Amino acid sequence: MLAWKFFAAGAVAPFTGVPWPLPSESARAGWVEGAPGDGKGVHACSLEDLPYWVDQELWEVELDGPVTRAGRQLVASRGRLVARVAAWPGAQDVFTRACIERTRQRVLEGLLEAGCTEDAERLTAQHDLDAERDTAFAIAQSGPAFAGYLFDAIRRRPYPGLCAYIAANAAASRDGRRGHDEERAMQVQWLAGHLGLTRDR
Amino acid sequence: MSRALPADLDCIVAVEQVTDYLEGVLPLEARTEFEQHLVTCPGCVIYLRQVRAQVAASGKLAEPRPVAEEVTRKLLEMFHASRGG
Repeated sequence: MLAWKFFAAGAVAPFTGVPWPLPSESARAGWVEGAPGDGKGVHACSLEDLPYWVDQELWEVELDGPVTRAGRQLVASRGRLVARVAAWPGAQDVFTRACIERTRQRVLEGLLEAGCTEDAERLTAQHDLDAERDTAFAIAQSGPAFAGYLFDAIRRRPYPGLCAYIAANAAASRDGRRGHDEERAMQVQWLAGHLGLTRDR
Repeated sequence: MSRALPADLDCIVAVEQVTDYLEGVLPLEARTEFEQHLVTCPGCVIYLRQVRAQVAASGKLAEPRPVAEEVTRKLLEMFHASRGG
């Protein structure tokens, strides 16, 4: 089956450090065999898993043998690279900005619901990310701690996986697990839409 | 600030699991949880890389060389002195 997998630069598996063989114009990539044992095969993602594993390169991969699900990942006995998703990491900053913007909206809603109108106005008056970050920090320090999610999301914007995680936690702080899952679903939708990824494979 | 869900792993636990992770003995669920933590924690990624590099470097050490008896004796004396006698 076809799936996706995020890699460190150079198609290197992000956690094990194993470099996956690259495909060439004339030949398919070589297979990478997973270690034997329960859950120790090759790991990859379905579309819904992707926001949890964001890294520097995104590849379409082919999985072989029985494919099982283990938490937020797919496990197969072996896999190989098929094609790199060219739009990533170029779209990384836009993805991160979208996560920050949704977090900003949630913080603003939270401030208004809590009656912190002046804080909401202060935040709305900022027109660049650094100013928003500093304002969110000041607001969080003064009382409404959930404004700190916006501070964190902006501060951590060089790390899109972390930024996406913070956005999901900001949503969870307002709406619990449902909010978390909705934010993650929005991230999936964003990745699918902007990177041209489809579920039907 | 950014931990609204109680199931998230924290850095203290992750650091304790690094050796088991590198030795491949973490159960699948714990391993996934550990890797998930790495996605969200640049600091633990650096720590993991350091430990991995340390293990690789120590594996390349030359054969153990004999230590002079006098050096051993002095080291033991210093050790015992540091332990209060």
